[in-house]
Order: sequence, then C-alpha cells, then structure tokens
Amino acid sequence: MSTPNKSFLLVSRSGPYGSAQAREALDIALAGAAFNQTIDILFMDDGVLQLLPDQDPTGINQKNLAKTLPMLKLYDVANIYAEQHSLAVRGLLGETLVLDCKVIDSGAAGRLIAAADMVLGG
Amino acid sequence: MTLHIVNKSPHATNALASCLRVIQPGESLLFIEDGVYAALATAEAGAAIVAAPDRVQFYALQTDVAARGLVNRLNVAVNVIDYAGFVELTETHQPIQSWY
Repeated sequence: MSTPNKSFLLVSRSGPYGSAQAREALDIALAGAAFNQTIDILFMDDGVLQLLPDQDPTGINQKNLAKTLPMLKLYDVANIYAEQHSLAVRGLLGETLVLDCKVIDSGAAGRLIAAADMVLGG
Repeated sequence: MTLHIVNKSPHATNALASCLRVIQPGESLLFIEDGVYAALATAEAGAAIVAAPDRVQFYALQTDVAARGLVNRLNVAVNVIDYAGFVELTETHQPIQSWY
C-alpha cells in the first residue's frame, strides 16, 4: 500500500476482569501491530490495574490478562505509557508492573492524545 | 442487619460512595468483582474505610482478590472470605442490598 501509516493511540481505561473492555483493547493492539500499524498504548484510570503482578484469575474462570500483556513487546508495540496520577491514586507508583511503561503526567497524556492521528478510547 | 454488596471499582462508578453514605453502624459490606479494588491499602481507599460508621464489617471475596493480584495489597480492616463465607453472610444478614 502506498498510503503512509497513521499513528494510533489506544487508551485503555478499564480493569482487567470486570468487563471485556481491557481484553478487547489488547486484542485491538495485537491485531493492529500484526498488520504493521504503529500503535501506542496509554493506560489510565482503572486501566493501570491491568499492570498489577500476581494476578490469578483461575478462580473466576478467566484468562490471565497480565500473561498476555507482555505479547505487546513481541509485536513491537514499543510505546507503552501509564498515567502517573492513575497509578498514584491506586498506590501503584514505583511498583514493579507486568509491562515496562513510560510513566507520564496528565499533561503529557493529553499531548500524546493530541499528537495521534487516530485515538481509540475505551 | 443489612449486608451491602459492592461489585464496581470505586474509581469507575459511585456505587461505593453511595453505599458508604447510607450504611448504618454494625452493618456489613462485602466487596466482590471489581468492588475489591476498594479494599486496596491506599490512602484514599483507607480514608473511606476509616470514615465508615462504627462497627461496620468489611469483607472481600478471595477469588476476586486473587484474580486481580491484590492478595498482599489489602487494607488490614478488610476480612478476606471464600464462597462458603459469602454464603454464610447471606444467611446471617437480612436484607441484602447490591450496589452496582
């Protein structure tokens, strides 16, 4: 294709198991990356809760989302961000997370959204 | 004595805030599903628990706690219970109010 790639930003704002939103956002990222699209991800609000280590959802019969998240690296999704405020209010600032994220302040998150060609909310 | 059940994250909806506004002394509050995030040992969540009326008992469902990686991150005021404990709470309380 001759058209230049657009830059996508996926904003993932839901916890891992309360709804299908987090899983679907991840599926979009992996599918897009598989088709060589440039997809950046911003975790904010309850979305940062996806990044907690030691998740064990066998008791609620769900797949461990935290085990799939590292696939993003294999698919060359390089720019993964987490909003500092969202981490702070959940006591997760400075914690070891399941993904290596760039922690950014709210202003930087806003600029990230503004700079994207296409934003996928959630 | 009423059993209150909250199944939504305190950051996502006002279910917990509404529950805490009306809960009475001595009643019980059970966190299930995304409600268990309210039991995190953070300053904000802790303040809500401290501000609750006297003798309110807090519980969180173990499977939902484990699913979300919160086993070692809970407020000490919250009792972790299994499904049998959940059933027991429903047997020993009446009525049951679900906030969702």
